[in-house]
Amino acid sequence: MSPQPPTRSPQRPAIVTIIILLFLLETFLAVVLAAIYFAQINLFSEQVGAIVRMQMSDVPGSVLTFRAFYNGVLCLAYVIITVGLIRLQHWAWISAMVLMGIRLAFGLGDYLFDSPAFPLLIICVLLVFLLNQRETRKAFGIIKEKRVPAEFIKRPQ
Amino acid sequence: MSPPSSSSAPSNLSDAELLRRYEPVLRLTKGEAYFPSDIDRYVAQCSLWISHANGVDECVIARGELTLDRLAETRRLEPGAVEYLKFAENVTTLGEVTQRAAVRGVSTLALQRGFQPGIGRLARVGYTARLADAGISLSMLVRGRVPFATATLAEQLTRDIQAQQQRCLYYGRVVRDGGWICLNYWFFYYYDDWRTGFDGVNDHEADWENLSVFLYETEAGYLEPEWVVFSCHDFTGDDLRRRWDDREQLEIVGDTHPVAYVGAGSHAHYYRPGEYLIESEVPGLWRTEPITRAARRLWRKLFGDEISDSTPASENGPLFAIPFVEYARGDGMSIGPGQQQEWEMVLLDPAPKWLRDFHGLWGLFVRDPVGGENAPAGPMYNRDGQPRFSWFAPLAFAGVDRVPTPANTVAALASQREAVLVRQQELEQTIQAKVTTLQGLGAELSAVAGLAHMQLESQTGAKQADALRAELRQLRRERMDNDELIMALEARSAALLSGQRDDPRAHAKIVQEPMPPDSLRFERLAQLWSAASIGLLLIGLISTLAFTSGQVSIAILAVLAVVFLLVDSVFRRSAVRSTTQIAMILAVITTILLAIKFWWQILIVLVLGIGLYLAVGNLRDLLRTLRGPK
Repeated sequence: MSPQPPTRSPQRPAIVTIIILLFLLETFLAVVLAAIYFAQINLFSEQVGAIVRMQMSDVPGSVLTFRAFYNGVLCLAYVIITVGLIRLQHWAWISAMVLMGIRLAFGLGDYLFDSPAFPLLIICVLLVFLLNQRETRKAFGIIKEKRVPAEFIKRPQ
Repeated sequence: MSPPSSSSAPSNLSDAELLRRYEPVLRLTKGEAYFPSDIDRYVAQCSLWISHANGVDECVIARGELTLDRLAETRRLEPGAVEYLKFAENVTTLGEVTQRAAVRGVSTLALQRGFQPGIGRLARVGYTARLADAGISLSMLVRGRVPFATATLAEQLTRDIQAQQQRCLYYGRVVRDGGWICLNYWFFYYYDDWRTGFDGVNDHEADWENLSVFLYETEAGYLEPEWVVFSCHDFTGDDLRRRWDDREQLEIVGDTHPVAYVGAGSHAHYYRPGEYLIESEVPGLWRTEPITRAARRLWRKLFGDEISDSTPASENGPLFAIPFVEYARGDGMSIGPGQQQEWEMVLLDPAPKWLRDFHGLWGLFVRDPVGGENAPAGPMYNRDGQPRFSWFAPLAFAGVDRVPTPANTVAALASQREAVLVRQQELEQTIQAKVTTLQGLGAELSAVAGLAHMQLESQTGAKQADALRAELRQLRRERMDNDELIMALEARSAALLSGQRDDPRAHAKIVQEPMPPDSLRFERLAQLWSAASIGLLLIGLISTLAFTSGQVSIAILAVLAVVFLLVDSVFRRSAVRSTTQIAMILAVITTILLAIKFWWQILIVLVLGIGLYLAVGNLRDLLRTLRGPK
């Protein structure tokens, strides 16, 4: 039996690594936020919940509950997309773009209502521009290399 | 010398014989009510009217009394007055006409004549086009337009006339110019029911269309066809023509008969069967074109082709264009040699009096300021009475005027090369003479340099020398360009002599192609959405502005915009691109807001960055200097 050739994973451009790192950072922030919001509905302990609720006393309870679930879903999405990005999956690029669109839309909404989260906005903007780079799109198969037909290739005389 | 091909013709054929030999085949679309026919019976059915400048319409010759000779009589008109024919003049009320039509089984609805519309036009285009379309539909309430009843009556009259004797006929002429022999075929349709029959741009009584076949005489003395030009709406130029041997684009029946697919209702000609998306520019919005074009180009350059709707080709198109689908399926009646119906021919040589002397409109004048609903004038004239481009310059109309015939191309290249060589000799002599003058000036300047009392002469000489140097530079540049040109002319000549031919579509910028089938997802739903979307969007917009205010309004409008864009993109299979576009737009807006908010911090970071970059660079240079050469 002949030995199997070693399988090579597709090469990951540096820009994709930066995107993954930024996504990991966003995932971490989303996890922290989700944890805080879930804490206020006494998911961890009543004592912690009381402290969090006291800190966010100006926000109605229903809004806090919505935010807890929104951030929970967000966390899950971030984790799945990050895994997809690491594995250079086509769907991960599309999902990342959709997610960034949603994040930016909400971020701009926050901006209009005077409670913007600037660091998050900056990361989102960065991610959108990085995801749209030609190299990134090529790595995820969003654009394909155009092959020049053989008859158009100029051969040396 | 190559032998004659199966499509060539002897050069001693008469004009009529030539027209007969290359007469086209017209393939109409199922549901089409009109076909090219004679003008005699049409005119006999018409009355002649003058629309005076003061808005009063006067009947000059009543129905039943009009003939082609009487049409050509000279009548004095005041400036601003329009002469026109009325074909369907007995229209009283729509109810009466439709009742009469129902009794006789006539319908202006092409659907009832067997036409299948397929995907609606609005479903094939974006929101800007739908918005423009809504505007134009509303403008029809104000603009003059042909009444619906007229369309019904015109069809009845046409059926009556053709029932007596069905005649398919063209008017032909032969124009010889610049080595080309242009066989020019003109077709007269009694009515254009593009709007009422096929949801198109306009309706009008009478319709003149034409197509041409360009022949040239070979060295062996026979005639070969080289180009075919189909008229298509108001387009002109190179894109209209196809080369005879371009079999992908041009269908030929029996070696000598080009096939034209006729647009249903509009009677525009197409080379290939199918459905075409015609984008009609909104009148008056052409001024915004440079801005929209620049914006599209900038967007494409910044963010790439893949997330941009526009391509370098479509970038030049109007943004606010009204979409119309042209059905040129060729599944209806076929007219021409060996087809269901054969042609009759009327030779327009010498030009008959009706053609030359009647400058008026061949059908109803409805005072449409845009012009689309007014009937056209005859083959020789435009609606304003001015000579028609395609008549007085058929070569220039399709860009053939600058193309030498294949038999003359090598000679034209040689003559051009000769002319450039002569110019090169002139240039050589001029350059040598000027170089001598310049060197003399240089010697003179060096002689007077440092002589204070000769300072004025020195300055004048220096100016002259500078001017001469600039002139020499231009001349040398021209000499070099000419060298390149000579090489190109020689290469082209050698290629042609070795039998090479150009790409048959090298002359065309845009080659119209039928739309690909089945490009919509959830077709029925998509069509429903496309029909309702602009109305819903406007209702949403007005309700939001009426019932909300401030930031809430902005937020709701933004959500509306995103939802509408996404729904449409799902139907049009462009969800990925639309999502990316939306994300990019949001990112750009956010960047601008962040830049406004943090401009001071950004400035500090920028200055720090530049400082750091310079410091590192300088330190690196310093270290390199300290280390010394190795």
